[in-house]
Amino acid sequence: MTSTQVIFLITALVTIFSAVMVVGSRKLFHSALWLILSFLGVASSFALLEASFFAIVQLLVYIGAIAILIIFAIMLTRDIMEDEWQQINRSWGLVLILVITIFSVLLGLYSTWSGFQTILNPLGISGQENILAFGKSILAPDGFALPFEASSVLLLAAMIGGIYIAMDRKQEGDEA
Amino acid sequence: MGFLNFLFDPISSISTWLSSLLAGWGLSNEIITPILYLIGAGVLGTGALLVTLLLIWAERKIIGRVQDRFGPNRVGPWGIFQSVADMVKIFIKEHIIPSHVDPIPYHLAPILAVSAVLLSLAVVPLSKTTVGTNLNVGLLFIIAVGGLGELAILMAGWGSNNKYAIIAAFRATAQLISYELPMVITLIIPVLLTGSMGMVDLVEAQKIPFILAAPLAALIFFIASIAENGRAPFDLAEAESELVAGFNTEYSGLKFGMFYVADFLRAFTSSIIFVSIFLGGWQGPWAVQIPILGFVYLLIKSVIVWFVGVWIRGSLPRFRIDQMVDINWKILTPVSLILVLLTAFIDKGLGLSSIYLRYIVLFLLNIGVGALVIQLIVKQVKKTEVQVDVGSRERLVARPENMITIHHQE
Repeated sequence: MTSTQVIFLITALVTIFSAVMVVGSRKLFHSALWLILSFLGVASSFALLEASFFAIVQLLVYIGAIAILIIFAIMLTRDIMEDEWQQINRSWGLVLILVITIFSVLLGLYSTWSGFQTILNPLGISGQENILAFGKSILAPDGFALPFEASSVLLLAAMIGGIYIAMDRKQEGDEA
Repeated sequence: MGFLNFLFDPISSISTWLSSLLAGWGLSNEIITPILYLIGAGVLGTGALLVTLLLIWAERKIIGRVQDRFGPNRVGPWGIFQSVADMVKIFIKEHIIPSHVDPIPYHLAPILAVSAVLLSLAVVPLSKTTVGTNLNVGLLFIIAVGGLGELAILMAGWGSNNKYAIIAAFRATAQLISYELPMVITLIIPVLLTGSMGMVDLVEAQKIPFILAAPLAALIFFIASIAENGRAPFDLAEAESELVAGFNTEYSGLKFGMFYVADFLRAFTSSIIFVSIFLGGWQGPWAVQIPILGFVYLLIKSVIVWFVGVWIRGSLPRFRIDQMVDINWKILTPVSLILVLLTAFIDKGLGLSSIYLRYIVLFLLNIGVGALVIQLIVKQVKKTEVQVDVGSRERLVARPENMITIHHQE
C-alpha cells in the first residue's frame, strides 16, 4: 500500500464513522459537530483526488455556511437540546430489515456496474488552468450550462420562498 | 558569493541544505518533503505566536497613547516585557472547568480558534521564494479557514454551559457570517484583475498594487475584515463594558489566553492578507533579486495596515447591533455587488491592453461609485434627521445621530 492509500483509508473511515455518529449521538449539537467532521473527511477526499477547488468549496459552503446554519437552527429551537428523547420507535426492527435488504440489493447492483473498473487518469492540467477548465465547462453550452442554470433557478426560487415566508404581512391583516 | 546568496534568501537556502542533508542520510524524497513541511509549519506557527507577544504589547501601548494614558510601562524598558509577564501568569494559573460543560467542544474550541488563524498563513507568500504552499485556490482557502474560527466560537458558547456565553456566541457568529459576504464579493475584483485565485499569482500580478485599481473594494474589504476580527468599532460581540465578557466567559487560564492570542494574532494576519491582496505583498524595489527584502517590505506594509486598525480601534466608539447590521446589509453588500458587476463589464468591455489606462479607468469607476454612495447616504441622513426646536416639549431620543441610523421617531 502506498501512503496515499493509507491516508485515503483513514479519511474514509473517519468520514463514515462520523456520518454514523451524526444519526447515532443523543445530542443534536453533537450530531452537528460530527456532521462537520464528516464534511471535513469529504473535503480531504477531494484533496486526495487533487480537486483542490472542490475541497475548499466543501469547507467554505458546507462547513462555513451550512453546518453553522444547522447549529444556529438547533440552538434556537426550544427544548431540542435535551437528550431524554427516545431515539427509536416501535417499528425499528421492521425498518432495520428493510434498510438492510435495500442496502444489500443496491450493493449487489452496483458491484456489477462497469464504472468501478474505470482506471482514473490524472487530469494533466494543474494550477490555475484546472479551475479555468472547470469554469469553462460549467458555463459552456455544450458543457454543463443547462444543469448549472437550472440549479441557479432552483436556488432563486428557494430564496424568493424564504423572503415570502419572512415578509411582514401586517398590511394584509389590516385590510382583512 | 555563497554567503551572500544565503543572506539574500536564507529560508530557501536552509531548506535546500536540509533536504540535501536528509537525502545524504538515505531518506527518500517522499519522506523528506513532509519533514520539511513540518519544520516549516512549526517555525512559521511558533514565530507568529511569538510575534503576538510583541503585538499585544504594542497595541496596548498605542491604544494607551491614543487615549492619553501611559500603557504598560513597568516591566522592562517601555514595558516591553509586560506580555511576557502576562504569559507566565496565564501559564501558571489554575484551570477552572465549570460543572456540566460539554467536554469535547469546550476543550477543542480554543485550539480551533488559534489554529484557524494560523492556517491562513499557510498560503500567503512571504517573499518571492518563500510560500507555505502555492494552492491554486489560496484566496478561497483563507475565507474557508475563517469559517473554522466561527465554529470555534459556537463550540465555546455551547460547551461552556452558560446562557450568556451562548447568546454572545450567537451575536459573534451572526456578525462574522454576515460580514463574510461583502468580504468575499470584493475579493472577486482582485481575482478578476489577475485571472487567478492563487495567492502567489495574485501578488506577482501586482506590479502596481491593486489598491490603485480598486480603492473602494479595498476599503470595503478593510471594513469587513475589521468586523471579521471583531475589533472596535465592531466589537459588540465582547463589549467588555456592556456584556458578561462574551463567548469566552467560562474560560480561564491558558484556554482564555488562547482566545486572547487568537484575537490579537488575527488582527495581524488579516493585515498581512490585506497587504497581499491589495498592496502588492512582498513587491517592492529589488524584492525579486533579494527575496529577504520582500519579506521586510511585507512586514513594513502589514505593520502600517495593522497600525491603522489599532488607530481605528482606539478612536471610534462601538456600533450598536442594528447599526452593525445596517452597515453590512444596506451599504457594504449592495455596493460591493454593484462594484463587482461594473468592474467586470467595464474591464472586459473596454478590453484595454495598456495597464496604465486600465488602472485609471477602474480607479475613476471606484471613485465615482464611492462618491455616489456617500451622496445617497447623506441624502438619507438628511431625510431621517429629527428636527426639534430648542425649548419645545418634544425631546430628542437619546441616541448619537449617525449617518447609518434611519429609524424614525414614532
